[in-house]
Amino acid sequence: MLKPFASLMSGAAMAGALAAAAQAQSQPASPPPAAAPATDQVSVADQIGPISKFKHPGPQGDLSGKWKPQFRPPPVKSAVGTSGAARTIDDEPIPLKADASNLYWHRIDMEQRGSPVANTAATCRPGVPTSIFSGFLSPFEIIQTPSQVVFAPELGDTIWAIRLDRDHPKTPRPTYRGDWVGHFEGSTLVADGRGFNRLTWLDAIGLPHSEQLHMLVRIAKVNEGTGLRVVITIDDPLMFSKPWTQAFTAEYRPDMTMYEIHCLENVRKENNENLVYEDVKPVPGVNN
Amino acid sequence: MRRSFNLTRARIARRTSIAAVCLIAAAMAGEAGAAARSAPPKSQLTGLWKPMGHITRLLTAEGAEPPFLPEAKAVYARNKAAFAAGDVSFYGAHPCLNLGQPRMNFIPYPVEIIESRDTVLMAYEWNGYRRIDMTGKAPTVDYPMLNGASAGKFEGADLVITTVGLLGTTFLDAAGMPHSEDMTITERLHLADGGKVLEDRMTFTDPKTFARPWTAIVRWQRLPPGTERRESVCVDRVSAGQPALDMNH
Repeated sequence: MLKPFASLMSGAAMAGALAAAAQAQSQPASPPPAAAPATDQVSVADQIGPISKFKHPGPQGDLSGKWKPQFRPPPVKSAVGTSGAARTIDDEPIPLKADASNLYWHRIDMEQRGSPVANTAATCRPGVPTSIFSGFLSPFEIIQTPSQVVFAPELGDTIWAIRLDRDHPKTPRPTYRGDWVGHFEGSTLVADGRGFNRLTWLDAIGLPHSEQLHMLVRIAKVNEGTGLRVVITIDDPLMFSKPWTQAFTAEYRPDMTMYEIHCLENVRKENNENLVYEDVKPVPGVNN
Repeated sequence: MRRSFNLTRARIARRTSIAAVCLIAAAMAGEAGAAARSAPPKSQLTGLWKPMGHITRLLTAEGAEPPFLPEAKAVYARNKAAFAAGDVSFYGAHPCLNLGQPRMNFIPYPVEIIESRDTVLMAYEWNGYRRIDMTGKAPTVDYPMLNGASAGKFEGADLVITTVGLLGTTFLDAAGMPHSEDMTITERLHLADGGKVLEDRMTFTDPKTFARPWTAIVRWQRLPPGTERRESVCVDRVSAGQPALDMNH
């Protein structure tokens, strides 16, 4: 745990560093088939840390409370050999189309050369909301009401609201967070996200997406309420040749205090001077 | 640097004390958890609200200047003069940084109140959110934060919130009213006008700044059902040459 803290405290794009560390993603040992519903149980081997000593007291469909994402070290057989890269649930390569692959590797290359491309974490903008599941240093709280399920992350100023009481608008205004609607299938929350702008990345090192990004997230308690299992299916016909799936776990931690982490408290010129900005400019009210 | 130090200190403290916290929480979890798992509150606070009027200077409920101690009075006079001249350099922070409590509650942008069993969330369209712990625990912090720590309870239909642990770098109003990190804010959120108006009576207790506790009143009007909080990204507005905080919003 000390190493991530050291990079966090060095100040550099603090959010960027944290997000980068956080983005090393978990990989279950016995994955269900891609796009399959989250199973109700997850084996002990699926978790990096000990199973939480806290058991969620609510009924199965009640997800409310504080949860801490679990971290798994990046595997040797990582798709791109870099911590922070998105991983598929079955450890197969992400089905990137050629242009998307070129952009991804360009961004990775730029970082290796010491002139990283600015992502939204480095510039204090919101990221895709599912990034909270790889933020293993920071808990998030789920606030569940009849009309929406809200994720309030410790890291960042932006909550993620999944509306249970409506469908997507016909033409959602593209935003960083996207438009999210959801419903329960049994005790599993199924959340559907559309209407994203193209300013965010799908991982910490540059996995691109377009405004056609469509995310389907299935969230359920597992292991008798001590854990949360999250299965995310990502589709973007401009970037990927087929939908692909990733998975995360989190542990129930009602004991954790939610602190505030504000990216804008830690903006320092010296940390951002090597950043390279891509051509896509945010235009309030148009693409965000 | 100071804030980073605070963050470091708090983070380390948090991680190293986690075992102790776990034990205490484990002991409490069974009983408190079971008792707290009742139906969601039947409160009428849920929904989208917008502050009424443009408050740039907080006054007491009677419309008077707060009972400042001499030093705080001088600081406020200096800040007020700068603010009136259009100079807000005394804020000393990024213009999009969360303004902290209580100021987030009366900037001219909607706030959404989201209520669940253990937490009331106030999600500010302008930027950020504030969480109010409803589990019955007293608010505590390891180090001061912009929004501090808030704990709430219902007294009848009123939500009474106590907030402590507020960073001394923020101001109570746009004109630069100072406060210390010892300040406690006690709020009473009360529905008025048949539920169309939400009144927040904020009482400030801060012996380092004020001669005695005093109360200000802020009012919100309920926005029509179906109105949703929009994603609003301050840093993008600023990049596009728009004001961070548009008082005519």
